[in-house]
Amino acid sequence: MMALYFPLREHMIGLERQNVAVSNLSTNVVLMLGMWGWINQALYTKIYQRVKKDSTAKPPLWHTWVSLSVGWLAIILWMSAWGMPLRF
Amino acid sequence: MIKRAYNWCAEHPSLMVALMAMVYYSLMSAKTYTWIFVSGDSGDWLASSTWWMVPQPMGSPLYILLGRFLNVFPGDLVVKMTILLSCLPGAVTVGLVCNIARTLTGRADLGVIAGGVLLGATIYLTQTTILEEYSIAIMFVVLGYWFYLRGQRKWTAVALALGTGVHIVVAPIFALWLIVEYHEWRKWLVPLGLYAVLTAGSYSLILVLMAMESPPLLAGYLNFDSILQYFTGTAGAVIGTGSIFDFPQRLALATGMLVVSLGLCIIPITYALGRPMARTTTLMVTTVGFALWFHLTSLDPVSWTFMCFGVPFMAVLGALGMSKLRMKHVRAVAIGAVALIVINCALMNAGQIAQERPEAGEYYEVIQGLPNGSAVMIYQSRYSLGLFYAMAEGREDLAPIVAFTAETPEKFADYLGWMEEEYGIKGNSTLEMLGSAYGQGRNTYVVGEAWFYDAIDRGMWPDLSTTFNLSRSGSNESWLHEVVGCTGLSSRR
Repeated sequence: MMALYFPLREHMIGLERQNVAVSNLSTNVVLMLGMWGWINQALYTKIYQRVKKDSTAKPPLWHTWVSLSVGWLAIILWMSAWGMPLRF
Repeated sequence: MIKRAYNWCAEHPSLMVALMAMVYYSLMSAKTYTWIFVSGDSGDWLASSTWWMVPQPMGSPLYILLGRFLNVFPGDLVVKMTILLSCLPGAVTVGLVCNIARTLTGRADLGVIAGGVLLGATIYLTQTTILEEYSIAIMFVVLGYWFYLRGQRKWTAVALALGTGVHIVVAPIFALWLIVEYHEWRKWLVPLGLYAVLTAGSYSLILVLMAMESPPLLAGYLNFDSILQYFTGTAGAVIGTGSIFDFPQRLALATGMLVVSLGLCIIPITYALGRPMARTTTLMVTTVGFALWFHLTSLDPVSWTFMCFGVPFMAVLGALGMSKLRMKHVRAVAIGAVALIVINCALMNAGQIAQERPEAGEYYEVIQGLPNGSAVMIYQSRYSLGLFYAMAEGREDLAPIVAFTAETPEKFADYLGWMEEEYGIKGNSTLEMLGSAYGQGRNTYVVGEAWFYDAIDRGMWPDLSTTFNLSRSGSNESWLHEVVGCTGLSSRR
């Protein structure tokens, strides 16, 4: 633990300039996309099971791709509206 | 008598832990102007507490009001703000964590251990021993949670509104709490209204300062564009825009910081996350998750300070987990916390580190010693905020030429107009203003860290190096350069 402590101590004192890699792909976009996919699939699964009246039924795979595409578009529009830099 | 005193202490463990924390933080705190532990913004808070000016976005109105209030009383403002707005709230938070853990587990020993874990938490310690706004903002969040546990929603909203008045990041935390509480939405309507009124009230101070036409150094005068630029300009470019390629390193650093902060308490936290999860636990997990997300996806590498919003709740979660463990494991966590308290005493003593690394104090002294009427070019950083602090402390004669790279000078129209009115310095760009100041015969300086000059040398800002001859000034050659010549200005007035 002390081997971790000393380098992190310098990091926390923080008087040196700390650089960050600016790239074309934001972590947040990936996270949001993943969450959108997860939430959407979970919601759709519930609706699908209710319509089919079968609590074990699984929705078709194509819906995942459609929902991810819609999610991707929604995130781009939202970020553009918010003025956040688009990093794709 | 001794037995009575002992019994009283045993009956009030939270108070005793808070008192010990207050002594600990006060002894460890930095009593001078410093930039350590990411406190480069302290110049801004000191300037705003002395001088009517709009601070950096998002304003922190309650914090600067408290600073102004403390400034009414005699004494060094740095010490007063550090002790009363960082150490004291930090100690109150430790006491609250002790109380919350005791309430949730029904065990006083686990409450004391949770308080000890927070006291030994290294990243939290950094923010309770310097002049920064995090400690007091975190205190209000934990206080809000404490009221929530007691079923006092209105007081929860009041505490969170006060926290939002100190730091805007408390607003999304409250929003997340409301999402967790959506089943009870009717009960939250009145508290939400109260929160909105109090928050709007505190942030109206920023609008008042804009309307007062205080120096437009960090915000323009009151109009729609200024307000929009002020409240959306910074955050949108930083929050959630960290690069995916930076993520592994960021994750490793964050994990390391949490491990050296919480020690063995990391293990019982995992025991508290089992299902089914009580809503009181979900609320804490949400806050911790938000704090971690903020740092892990932020473009700003020093945003680890935001993880401190999650640390008190991690200590409580640790206590919840410990309630499921055997006594020998609980003892191990307690010993780990005590070890961290002792190690931090030796290695993370802000007072001592601030003495060893006096960059901020030296910078302040040099700025205070510049000739009368000097012009100082600075880019937005701890250096510009330190300059504003020096100006607020009686050096209003110094002309601050703030470097901006925007192609549209109309965005800075209020600032440019103010510079012309106050100092007679004209220009639509940083370089034109620098030339104007030099042409007036002012002692003109360019201030920046070594990387800034390296960037100039590498031609990243060719106009600056080809237009002006810069001379390294005295012993402060790493960051202070004097303009000693200017192309196109053969003679100086």
